[in-house]
Amino acid sequence: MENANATVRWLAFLGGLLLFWCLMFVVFPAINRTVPAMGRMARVIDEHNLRTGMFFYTDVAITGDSSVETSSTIRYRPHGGEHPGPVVGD
Amino acid sequence: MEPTPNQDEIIIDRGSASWSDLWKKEDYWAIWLGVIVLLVGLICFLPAKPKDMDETIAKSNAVMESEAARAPFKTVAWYKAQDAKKKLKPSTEAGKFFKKWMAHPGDWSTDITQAFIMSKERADALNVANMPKYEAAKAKEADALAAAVAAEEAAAAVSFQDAALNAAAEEKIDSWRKAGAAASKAKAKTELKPYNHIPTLLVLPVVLALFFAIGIKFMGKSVRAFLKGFGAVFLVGAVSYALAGQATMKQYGVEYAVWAIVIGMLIANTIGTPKWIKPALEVEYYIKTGLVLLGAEVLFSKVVAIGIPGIFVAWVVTPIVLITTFIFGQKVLKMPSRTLNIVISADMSVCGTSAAIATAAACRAKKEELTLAIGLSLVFTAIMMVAMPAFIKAVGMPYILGGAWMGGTIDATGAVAAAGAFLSDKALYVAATIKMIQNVLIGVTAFGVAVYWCAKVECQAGRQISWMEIWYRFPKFVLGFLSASILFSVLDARLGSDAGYVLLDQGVLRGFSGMARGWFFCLAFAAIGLATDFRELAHHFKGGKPLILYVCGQTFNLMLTLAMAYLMFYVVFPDITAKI
Repeated sequence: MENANATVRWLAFLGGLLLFWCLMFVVFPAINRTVPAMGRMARVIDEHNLRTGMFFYTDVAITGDSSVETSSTIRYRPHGGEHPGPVVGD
Repeated sequence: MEPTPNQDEIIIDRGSASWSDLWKKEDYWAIWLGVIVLLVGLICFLPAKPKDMDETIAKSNAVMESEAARAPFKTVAWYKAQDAKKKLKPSTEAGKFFKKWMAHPGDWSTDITQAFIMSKERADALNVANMPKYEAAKAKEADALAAAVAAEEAAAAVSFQDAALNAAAEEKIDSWRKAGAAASKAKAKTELKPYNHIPTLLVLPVVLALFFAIGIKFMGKSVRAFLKGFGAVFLVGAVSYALAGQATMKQYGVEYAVWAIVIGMLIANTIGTPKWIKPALEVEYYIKTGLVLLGAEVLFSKVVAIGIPGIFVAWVVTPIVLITTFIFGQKVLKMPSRTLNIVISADMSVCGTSAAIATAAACRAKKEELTLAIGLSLVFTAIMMVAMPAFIKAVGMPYILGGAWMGGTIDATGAVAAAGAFLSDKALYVAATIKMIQNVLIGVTAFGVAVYWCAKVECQAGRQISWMEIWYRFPKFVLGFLSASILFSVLDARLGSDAGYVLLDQGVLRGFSGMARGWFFCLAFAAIGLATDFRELAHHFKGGKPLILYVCGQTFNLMLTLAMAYLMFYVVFPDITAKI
């Protein structure tokens, strides 16, 4: 591209921006509409206001709640009453 | 990033160090700048105890303990006590200041200006429009609570001896929790506040430029040239944050790191990166400073958040997969670049982009290798985020097992949360906790890779390396990273898990240093993009070996993680699983 003239380079740059626009507003929304699993996942993500690309636990607010939930379960595990048997499930 | 030495470039002369390195070398400046940020965070947030924090924690813990002894399941009172602890947040003027002046562009759907400005009129209009949904959700929650209390009282009336009544009470309480979560999300949409990020985006680059310029000056580089180019790098970063906030991009995990690289590469490979920007393309400087801050977020106490099962899934499986994949890449695939091999292996086995960054810096990988690893991670994260929960549902896998499996294998924490949330709240909590425990492994990984590279890789075959030589070559910023981790882990332990969660996790880290770290990484990725040639990137992908390495490693990771998660959660510790 170094040898191409300025017009070609700017056209390539604008073409790249157009490609981003298409991905953002045409391609990915179309995938959401046509792939049911992705559409359902998109609704879950919107509902929880998640940013799925965030890579560290401190970037994702819900990990704070998750760690409180799980560590509370470990520290204060219910063990009262007569045990009719643990309910292992979801 | 510096070029990896090949056989012809193996270092044979002895390294050297002097006291002046402390104020002349980039690694040390990354440490000093990181320390400044962390100290400011500690000074602002440690004293910022919420009102009655200690009393609330003590009371909540006492309630949870007594309820745990009273009933065989988590009662309404147990959950309310836990919720009281979750509500504790540090409140400080400094926190509000940082939140305003370090904010990045926000979320939007079709109108990108919403990423920068939301007027009071619009915020009020949205709040009013969302109110009916919140009121309906609130009413549903109240009904669910009444039903849960009634069911619990029925179970308590027979001293919890009736299994059917206990199961019914647990089900009603579970429904109440779901209704509460829905009401909470609906409430957040009625409390939108107006914002204007434009002043921040004008002032912050000046502050960051001057901040980094201190080190540039002492390193003997041109401050003037650096300052001249910094604004453009920041602009690419700010645009990247804005694009990452678009609704569909959030769903597909196309975050600021990806946008910064992509926009930077588009500029570099079309119109060309202007020469006056190049002095500000200090990739390693930004990344190393960001990594020192990341070290503070690596809290070793998190490792026990879900007990021994979590340790085995996250800390036993991960090193096995990392080392096996690396050996596979060297001996079977014969990857041409060892640094690319270890960066992809760490990226895939540990926790995605953050592990790739730390490992790449520790072994001095090329920036194109880091870019490639992040690209692979992004593609497979998006696929696994959708495919794994669908598979788990299809085969009827228990959701806690599925959550642990996804937490240990999907790379990005955000994607892990989404995949877990798709199944259930319990799957979400388990998945996110497992991923958090894996995040903590970054410190050990970076240190191990740095030592291995200095002692074994960057030396002539058969030549003995002294400890002093390892010290000379050792990337010193890793010491800053580890020191921050150890210091904050000790502080967290001293404060106790509850107070540590409020003051460190919610305060210093999420309220300040995490935001700074985000901006520093964003600058680094923008600089990588602006300095990357497409052809160099394509060269590293030749033959498809990086893709084969990732796929084979991830396949092994999926099998081993599932096996270990099943063993730990359902064979060895079923009692922990039963109570999650």
